[in-house]
Amino acid sequence: MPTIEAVELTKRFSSVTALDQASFRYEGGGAIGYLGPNGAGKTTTLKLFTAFLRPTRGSALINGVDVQSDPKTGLWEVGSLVETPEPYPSLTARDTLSMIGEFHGLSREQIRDRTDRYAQELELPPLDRKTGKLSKGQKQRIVLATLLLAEPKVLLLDEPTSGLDPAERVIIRNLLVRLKQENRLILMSSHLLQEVTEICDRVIFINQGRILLQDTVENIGSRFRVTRLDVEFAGSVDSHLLSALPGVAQVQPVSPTRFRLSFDGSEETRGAILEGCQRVGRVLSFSSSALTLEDAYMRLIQGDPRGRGMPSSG
Amino acid sequence: MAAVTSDLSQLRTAFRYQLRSYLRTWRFVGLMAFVAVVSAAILAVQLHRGVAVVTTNNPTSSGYLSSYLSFLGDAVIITGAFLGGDALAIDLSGGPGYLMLAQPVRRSTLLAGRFLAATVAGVAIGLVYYAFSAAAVQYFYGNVPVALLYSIGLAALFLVAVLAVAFFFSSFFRTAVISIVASILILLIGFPLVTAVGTLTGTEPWFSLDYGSQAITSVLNPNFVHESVMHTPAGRRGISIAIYNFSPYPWEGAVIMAAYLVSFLVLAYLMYRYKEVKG
Repeated sequence: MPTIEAVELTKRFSSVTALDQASFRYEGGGAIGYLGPNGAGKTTTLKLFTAFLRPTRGSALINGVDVQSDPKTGLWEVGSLVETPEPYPSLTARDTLSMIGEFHGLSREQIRDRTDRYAQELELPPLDRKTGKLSKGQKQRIVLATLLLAEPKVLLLDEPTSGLDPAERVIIRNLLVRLKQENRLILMSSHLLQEVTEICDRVIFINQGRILLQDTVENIGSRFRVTRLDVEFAGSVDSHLLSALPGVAQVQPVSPTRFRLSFDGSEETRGAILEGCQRVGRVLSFSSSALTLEDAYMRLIQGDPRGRGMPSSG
Repeated sequence: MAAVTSDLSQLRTAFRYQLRSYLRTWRFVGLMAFVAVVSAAILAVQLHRGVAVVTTNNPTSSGYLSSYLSFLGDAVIITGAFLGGDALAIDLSGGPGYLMLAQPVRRSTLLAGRFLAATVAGVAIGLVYYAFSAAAVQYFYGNVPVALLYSIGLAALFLVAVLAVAFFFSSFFRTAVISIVASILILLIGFPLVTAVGTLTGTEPWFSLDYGSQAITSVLNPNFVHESVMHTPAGRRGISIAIYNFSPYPWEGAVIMAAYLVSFLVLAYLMYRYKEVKG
């Protein structure tokens, strides 16, 4: 069963503490979203788990192996995407995939079969082209294919859809959902809370190097009362009709068919608003989970006490 | 957990793809062409001068080779700097390093594979020079002296020592261009300066890689003298200055080059192994 564990993981750069005694342990399949503002310590954590950096204190263990003392064994069943990895520009995409496959001990047949599979699934560019001549998105997909080639049990991803176009994002998101279902353990940092909501079951909030909260997405919802809702209608709707609904404090039109509604956060009011919306027009979606994360994120970053002293769940 | 791939198997992989990477770059083709053009130009000039003039200037085939190969040291330095200059810096500067150093491969394995690939590519380039020199000596003297093999061995040793220095700079600097330039400056200007100072002060510069590399040609020199001093008049008062000339024994040159190889390779490994990737 795949595991990742941080034990009082600390990293200092001169006088700056980038990560301060971070501890967590996750076991088994699933996806964990690692959330925090820029400079919070997300990338530092992932770099410590991939031995790009050495911790000032503490340890990073993957499948029970300390990646610092034995990086070869520690990273054996790990696929990582940290910062912006690039293939060697003078090698072709096929060479790059073969080289990584060989490092992982795959046979030629395995490399060929998996290369063909991912070439289709990730819509890879022509494999005999030098990677130095590929676009950023194409390179990123090649890198992702190398990451998946060895079928790692643990994936460490640093903003995996950053810099990709919407179509590429959908490809990656679907892939991550599939990998999660295949019992892989994914730790991914992201700024896209909608994406985290769709992929992850659990989240870790971090700011200024300290872990503020870690819990399931569901529990976050009950811990931080939702005060906003996203509603999507089948056709155009007059926002005044929504403003007039009982319990709606504010209406923010996103598009002629999509609206963000503010309310007091109680379940009764939420139910009443849903009923009201159904009278106004045909409701296609009525969601609050991404907003829950967003609310929790904003409140934690601003120092909401509900983020302190929370149990570390794995 | 599945069994990890052996270090030896990963070393073969690192070697093969690094060599493939070298062979696909214009740098390798350019170095090969550069060495071929220089060798051909030397040969062309000598053919123009004619057999009689060449064999009169250099009565023995070994002596001829000794002077023919005088440019080889510079060619080896340029080759080694370009092949080794970015070998490790490419990883430590980010980009490809974020792909490669995240793999379950020891950095020592990657370094060894790349070093071997650079050695093979460098030897291939150096052999072009030797092929021209062997053809030339066969044409002018009708024989190829056995000592040429010793010279090839010493040149190969010099190449790996140069590569070790270039690998060290490559692990020290995070930018490939800077490490290539630093390697060339130190090897092409720094060490010869040290050797020159030794010559002027009467101290045998046994600590200079440049001095050690002179064994490549001294092994061919039939009039080899380890140490000589020449007094040259200076000024009107009958004062003379002594100019010392040192040439390393072949074994001595080999020891100097081997020492540089080992020490700089160890330093390169330590830098590559322990340097954090922050870029």
